[in-house]
Amino acid sequence: MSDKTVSPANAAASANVAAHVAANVAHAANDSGAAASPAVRVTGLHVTIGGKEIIHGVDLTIPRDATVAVVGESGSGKSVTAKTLSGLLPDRSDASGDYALFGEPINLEAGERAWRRLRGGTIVWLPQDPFSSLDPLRTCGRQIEDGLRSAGHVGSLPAQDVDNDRTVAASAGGSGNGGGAPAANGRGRLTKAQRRAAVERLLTDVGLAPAVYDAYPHELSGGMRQRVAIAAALAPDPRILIADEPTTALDASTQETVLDLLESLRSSRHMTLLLITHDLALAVERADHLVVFHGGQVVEEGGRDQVVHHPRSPYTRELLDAHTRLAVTDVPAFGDVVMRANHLRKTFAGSNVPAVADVSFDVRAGEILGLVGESGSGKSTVARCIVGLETPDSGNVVFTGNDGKPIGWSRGEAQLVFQNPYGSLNPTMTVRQTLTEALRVSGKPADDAAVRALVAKVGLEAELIDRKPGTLSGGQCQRVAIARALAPEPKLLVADEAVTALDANIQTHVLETLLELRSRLGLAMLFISHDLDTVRRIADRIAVMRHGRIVETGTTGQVMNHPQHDYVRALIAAMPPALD
Amino acid sequence: MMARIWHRLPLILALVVLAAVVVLSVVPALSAGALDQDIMLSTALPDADHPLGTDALGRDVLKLTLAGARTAIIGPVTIALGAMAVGLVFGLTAAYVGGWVDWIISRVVELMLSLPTLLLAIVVAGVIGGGYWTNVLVFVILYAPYEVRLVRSGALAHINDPFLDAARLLELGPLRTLAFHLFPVIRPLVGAALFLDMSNALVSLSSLSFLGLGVSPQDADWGRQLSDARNLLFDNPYAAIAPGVAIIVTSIALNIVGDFITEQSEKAER
Repeated sequence: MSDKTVSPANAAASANVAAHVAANVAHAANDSGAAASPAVRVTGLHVTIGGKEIIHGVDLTIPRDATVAVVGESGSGKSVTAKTLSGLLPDRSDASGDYALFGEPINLEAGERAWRRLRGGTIVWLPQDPFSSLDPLRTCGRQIEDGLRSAGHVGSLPAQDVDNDRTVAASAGGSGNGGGAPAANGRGRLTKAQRRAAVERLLTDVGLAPAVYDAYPHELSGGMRQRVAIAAALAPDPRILIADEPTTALDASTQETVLDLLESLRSSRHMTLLLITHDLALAVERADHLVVFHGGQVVEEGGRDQVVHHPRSPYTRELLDAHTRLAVTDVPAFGDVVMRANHLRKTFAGSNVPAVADVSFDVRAGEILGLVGESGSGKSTVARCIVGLETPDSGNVVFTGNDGKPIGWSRGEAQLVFQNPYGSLNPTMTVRQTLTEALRVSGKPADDAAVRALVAKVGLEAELIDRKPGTLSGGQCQRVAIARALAPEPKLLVADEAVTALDANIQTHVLETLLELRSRLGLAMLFISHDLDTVRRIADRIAVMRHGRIVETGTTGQVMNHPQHDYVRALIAAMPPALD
Repeated sequence: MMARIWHRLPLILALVVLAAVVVLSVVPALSAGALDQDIMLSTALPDADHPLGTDALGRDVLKLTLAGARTAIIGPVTIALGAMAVGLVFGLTAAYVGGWVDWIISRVVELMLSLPTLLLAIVVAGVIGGGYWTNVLVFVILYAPYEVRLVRSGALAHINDPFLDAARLLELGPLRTLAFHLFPVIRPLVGAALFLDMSNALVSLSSLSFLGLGVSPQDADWGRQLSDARNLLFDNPYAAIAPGVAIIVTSIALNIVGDFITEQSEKAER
């Protein structure tokens, strides 16, 4: 900081400059707004990260006071684009193109200082994961206050040319050197009591008690934490809020309320909400305007109804199809019961609430039983008890052996497909090694032909056979995991959130694979998910779990059309509506 | 290309040093005549025949230092590999089996870690008579608890990974699971530790030799040389400087290579 020795006269001068810049921006934001310059206009955006071009010429117009959904699978460039707009690109990256915010041109090459002032008041980024975005060591109130402080610089934009750049830098330096003195643009600093009052107002706005001010993040649930994060994002009074997958880490019923909250805040504060999501159904339900990304390009942009009813690009059509229907496969006649769980109970050490409290059900050959419940409802523990990874405290799991005698678990009876497709494969082994091992220990022929047959069974391309998991996509890894689970030819396949981590159209492909395996092999399946919509699409019968108990069970039609339990009714109400 | 070589210069130099040490230790002909004494030429300053002069017994300092590479590499390699073998057996067992097995192994490890390594080595060498291979064995035992702890913590980081559950679902035996599933994921850690241990072991062994508890007096060894030459500092300082520099350079080279392996494995994990 060369301007540490700034004289009072200089300070006054830079204060004037700052006021001037702020006035210009206010002018741009309010007056020329009447001339309907959109909130964001980007043309010819190219982004290169680490020498690799990620975004290949994106044109994007985002209207004011609207909810705009940016949809695309992971790696499609939607997040990178949003990060570019708020200057959050990592080092070693390069962005070029024309960018205007509310009609005011922005220099994409601007320095960190200029971006910081822009991010303070104009654009705010709401991070994805409320469990890691808050500082665990500070109270929620203090973290929201951080945003208030930068509200002193409302609306400054990074300047276009070198001269303006310097004035922005100088004014930042000037106010920084001001220390405890009133801020350069004439706004007084808030006193401690005022700050607290402002934060409590924000907490009320996001539907939390003012007492949350003194709470630490670990004392709050995921949904409450996301509300705190939203309050922190709103503190600088932004005009554009970028929400990156704001509900992906939350339970279904919590997702609903958080999205409702974002929508009501958006309309009451006249913000533009940019909703980044991989979930087309959610985007269609929430947004007025859709932007579909694929392979670093915008393949579709337009009003919601137009995109849903008259999609122009084949990719959008595929996404829409993925959501509406699964390819029909024959439902075989159900055979005998292959697995029966009797009064399972499990309490983990250190917890006084049972994870599973008295769960009983059975699955028949050729049948798909869907087990639905929020995280923490005990459904994963049930899955682990079934395949012997956990031992229930009481109750038992009985399989029907080959000669009809009841037996315990063995690899030929039931196999599990895990939620995390990357974690469930050994990262140091190729697909071939993984599958060969599974076939060999199961006493099956394990030659090249057998591995290829297994790979073909789950619809995986044969040329991926010598790759390691790190170079495969999530959907490909999950197919390998399913292939491995099928190697011992189990009678029951337990799929624990097996498609949750996958993108919508990949989910559909994997679900179709599972349905086809069922009808071809007569496999019994226990399909576990927190997502009722997914379960509805695949299951013949549904059991809903809550707090370690099954609260409702019945055929899919019964449960979906005539739910008995209030909780099930709430789950069904929280489902996104059909797309047609 | 030049910038790349420049960036990797320390690594390249380290590899050259290690290659030289290895070649010298496996090809004794390169340092033939290192132990030839010439009492008439005791403690001579450098000249054309003896670039680094001679020591008190009239041995050529340069040749003696080159010959010392043998004890400088064989012992540390044995110690690192031996201690790591013990570490893998007990560390993987503790992490995988858990429960009271883990408890006992961990307490024994803590007990051994609380003993000062070098002091204990001196006591043992003093009591049972020392000697190079005795020292190597003592250090294998004393280094092992560090490896047990390293392997155990590295394995614990992966013990809850679903792919180990998947191995259990295939009813793989524990030995197969450990060898083919758990060991490969901690292999980078093991590789890095091996080099750092060699570096430490070199210094430890040299220390014992310096104290006269290592190789027999007529053998070439850098620690021994240092010890012999400390009376000659004013007569032929090179007699002490040469082995000292050799120890430092070799151990730095081992550290650099170890760092590089750590760096590469971190990259591979991302």
